[in-house]
Amino acid sequence: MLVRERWNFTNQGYSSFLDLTMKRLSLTGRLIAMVVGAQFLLAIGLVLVGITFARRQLLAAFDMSLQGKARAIAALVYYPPDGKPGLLIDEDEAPPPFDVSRPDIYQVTSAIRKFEAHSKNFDTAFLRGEPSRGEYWNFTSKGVPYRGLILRNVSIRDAQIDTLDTDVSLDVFYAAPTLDITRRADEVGMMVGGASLLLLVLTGLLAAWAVRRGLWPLHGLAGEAAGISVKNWNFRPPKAALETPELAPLAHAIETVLGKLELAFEQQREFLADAAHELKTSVAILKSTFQSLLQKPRSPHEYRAGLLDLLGDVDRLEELLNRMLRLARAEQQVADGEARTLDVADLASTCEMAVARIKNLAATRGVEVQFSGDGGGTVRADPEDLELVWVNLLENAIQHSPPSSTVRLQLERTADSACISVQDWGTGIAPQDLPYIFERFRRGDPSRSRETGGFGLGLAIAKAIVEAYGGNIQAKSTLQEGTCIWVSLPFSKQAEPDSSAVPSPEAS
Amino acid sequence: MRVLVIEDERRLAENVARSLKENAAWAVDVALDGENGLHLAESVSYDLIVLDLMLPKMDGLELLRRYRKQGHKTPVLVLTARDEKGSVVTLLNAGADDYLAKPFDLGEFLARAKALVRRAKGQPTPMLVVADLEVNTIERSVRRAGHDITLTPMEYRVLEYLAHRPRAVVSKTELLEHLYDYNWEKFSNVIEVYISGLRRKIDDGAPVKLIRTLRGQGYALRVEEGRR
Repeated sequence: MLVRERWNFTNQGYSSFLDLTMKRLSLTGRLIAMVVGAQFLLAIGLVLVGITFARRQLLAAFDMSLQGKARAIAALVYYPPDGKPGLLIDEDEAPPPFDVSRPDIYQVTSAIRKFEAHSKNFDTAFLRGEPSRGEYWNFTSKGVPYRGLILRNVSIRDAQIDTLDTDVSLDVFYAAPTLDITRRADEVGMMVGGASLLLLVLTGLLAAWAVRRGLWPLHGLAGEAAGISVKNWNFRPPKAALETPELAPLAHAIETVLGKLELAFEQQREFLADAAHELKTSVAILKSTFQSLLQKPRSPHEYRAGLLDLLGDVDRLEELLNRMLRLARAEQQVADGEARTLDVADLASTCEMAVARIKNLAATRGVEVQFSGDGGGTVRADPEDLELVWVNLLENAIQHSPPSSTVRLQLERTADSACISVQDWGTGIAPQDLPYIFERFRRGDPSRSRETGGFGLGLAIAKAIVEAYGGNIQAKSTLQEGTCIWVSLPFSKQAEPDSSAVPSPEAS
Repeated sequence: MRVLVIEDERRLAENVARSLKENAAWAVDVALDGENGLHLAESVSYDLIVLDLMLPKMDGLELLRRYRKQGHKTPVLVLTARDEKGSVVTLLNAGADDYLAKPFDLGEFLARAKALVRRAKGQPTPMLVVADLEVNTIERSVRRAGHDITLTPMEYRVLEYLAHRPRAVVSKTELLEHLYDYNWEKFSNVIEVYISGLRRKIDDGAPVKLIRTLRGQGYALRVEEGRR
């Protein structure tokens, strides 16, 4: 497991850690992770925005109050009553500080007379880096962050001042610690953060519940699919799955695939059972012939007859094996979509060969085989394969024909395909059996009789070969009137033999 | 005994029929398809039916069901190339008495066939005993009071049939039906010839006569009461 994950990691160098984590999670886990992750990012954003906004608002209020306090200080300035030059501040009247332990700092300077007064904790170093008028700046005093402001040319009207210049203009510096702002802003942030966290947990739980509930039809579908086995192909998609738009196609797809699989499996099983039946029967014949021959002492003549019987039985077994192998090969070609397209077969000559090969059987059964056709044409196919198809069709027709009747092999052509038909005027096939005549071993076909020497494989082989070459085979029949089986094969596309090396996609 | 073999595989049917004729000395009819088989089974009283399952025209199982539905009690031995458990159960439940999977051993087939026939007639062993007469159906040998008796094949057939049902009265028609297959011309007077042959070989010189003729009814193999 570990090795495999590492392999994954190295193999997919582009995949990030997130991708890997997600791949290890279940679908539910992924969805919940996504929801919670999004919520988490949102919460962080909210906290940042909240803190920034709160800080800005608090700072604005702080600045306003700073200005107010500066003006209030300016209003408290008076000249010493004794007429000495200087400035005095009525400190008792000074506005209360934000924080008693960290008192505000202020300084008042008269512009003309160069008088100044200040609070006890004032230090000129504070004014370093003083900005232009009306602006605020931050500094630290003994490790405490302060925010200060300088008001210039604040004019005061002191009732007591009448002897000196009335033009008294003051520069006022006022600063207060900003710890409070930071603390409050952090409080806001923590509140927003706490609320978000609570919401996060709730959302996570809700998402988990919702996703589980949402995926419930999928679980139902999986449960139903898990019940499928070789012995039980019964698949009924749960109603919930069919009613879910995302799952309905999947459910239907599973249903369809299973249906096809079951059919294929059933066909294979039937074929195996049939093949086993045929083989066992053949072996049973051989064995019983041997045993009945050995049952008692016999004359040389009887032994000879018995050996000839055995030879016939072995011939039959050989024929059965050949046909089964031929069928398997043709069906494999159909399944692989691979037919030898290098060969080019002349239709008319394969038909003539087939008629020649079937002549003996036809003569034995007193059936006349007629062949008619215009020049024919060529198709991409192994001539021997096609000959086998015609032989099988003719054999089938002859076996179902009464003596002194006719079987007709006809070759016609359409624009792009050749049509070869075999018509007999024999017993015909019942409508209920017609769909099954191309099936292997043709079970349930009442006309199938071992007396005619067939295994019920001839038509199945013909169909497999024709389909391997991209053609199709069909049959129509009327009871007591006869049967017509026709094959249509596409003409080979190329005129020159040398281009045949490139198989056309349509050929397969 | 007369057996019907319903088997579409002509060669197999031939072999089975031949071994039944040669080894058991029974009369055998062969049907190569289901319809013909059912027709024969219904019209002739057989002692055993050997039935293949996969038959043209009518499936063996279907044939068996129809046959049993009509109330026939003749034992049926099924030959099947399918050996799935389910189908065996179906077969036996449909009224088959025994089955053999192909390819089978001809010796086993014959033993089962004989067992089915004798059980249907109430005989537990292949050695049939009537008083001091012993009929060995395996070796087809006959002894009376410890002495071997040589019979012609037809005489043996008649005796074996009678010995399977001791005390029962068997009519001449019944004997004709059960001793000859379909292809034989039947003459009822040949039965009298065989009976007289048997009587000469078995009863002549014996203190107790076993072969009884009941005029107008038939024959019986039994010890006559009161004449012991």
